[in-house]
Amino acid sequence: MYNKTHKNNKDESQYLKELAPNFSKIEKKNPFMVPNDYFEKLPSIIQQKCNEKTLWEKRFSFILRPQYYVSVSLAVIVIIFILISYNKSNTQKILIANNNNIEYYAKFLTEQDILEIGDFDEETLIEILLNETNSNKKISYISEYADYKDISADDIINYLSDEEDNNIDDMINELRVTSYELRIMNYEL
Amino acid sequence: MNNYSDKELLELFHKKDNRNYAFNLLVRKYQKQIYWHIRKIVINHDDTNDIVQNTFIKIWKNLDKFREDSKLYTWMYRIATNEAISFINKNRIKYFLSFTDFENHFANSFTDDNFFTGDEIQKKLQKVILKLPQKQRIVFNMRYFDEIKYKEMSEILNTSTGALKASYHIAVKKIKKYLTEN
Repeated sequence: MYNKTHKNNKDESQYLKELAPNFSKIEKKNPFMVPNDYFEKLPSIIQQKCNEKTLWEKRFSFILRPQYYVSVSLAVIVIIFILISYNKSNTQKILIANNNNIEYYAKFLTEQDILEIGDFDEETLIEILLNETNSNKKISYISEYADYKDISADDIINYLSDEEDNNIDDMINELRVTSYELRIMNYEL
Repeated sequence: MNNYSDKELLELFHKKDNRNYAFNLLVRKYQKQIYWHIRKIVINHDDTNDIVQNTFIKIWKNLDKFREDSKLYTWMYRIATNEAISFINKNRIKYFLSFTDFENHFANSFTDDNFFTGDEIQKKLQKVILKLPQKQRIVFNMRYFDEIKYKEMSEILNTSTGALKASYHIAVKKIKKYLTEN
């Protein structure tokens, strides 16, 4: 490579002599070397790598195409859509099932009862407790509640008031469930 | 062994059945020039070997799209130069090194390299060349060692011939200064 003759070589060496006389005296040679047979082996190594690359690209060329990314994005969108729709229909099914339950129990409950189940306040609580005293006779038929047949509403209020951390909301919630269960049981009886 | 002109090699490459053969001839024709060009930029043989292979893989991939506006070898030189510069930049960022630190790293690596056969004055000259800024060093090596014409260098480095001449002139002056001082 360094023996290449160029027509402007003379000009070049003259230029160097004038500009940097010491530097121009240094012999121009390549001080580096390569391992034995390096250049004999290199073409086949390169050819092999190129073929491997081509093979890989042929196999996975679809990944490199922009259409691939469009398809994948569309697939993801469709899957998300399906999942959302499935979730929605399940929620609706649960709602319909709940509505069916309400409809089932509504056959046995009066309009007033349903309203009471839905909305509670302090006055309602007292009213329910008073009603419970009256309905104790019915409760006594159920063995589970047999021991409580003589308990009055005042007793319950006193009992609940003595409890630590008593909270009127908790009481309402407890009673809401109890009252609802009792009503269902009463009607079933 | 390989008397094909670039044009003939390209024609051969464009025939599907001869692609591998034509490319093999192309590699054999230019491997040394490409190797030494890269070696002078990155100094170390193993790094050069990797970059040479990547360069030829890129050439293989893009040879079909090569428009014969420029000479084939200037196009190949451009790919090789870009690959070598990308390699340096990637490594510099990877090891959080400044340009100066990286030049020092080069200077140390070539003296430890078993593949350096130069005498003391050659070693001194190489160390001085490594002190030049990257682009100036490339220009100097291409002009001084590879004896590439400014016009061709201009195509390879995408720089005007005037700027290249100025760059070479400054590089020679710096080398002269370093050599005189040391």
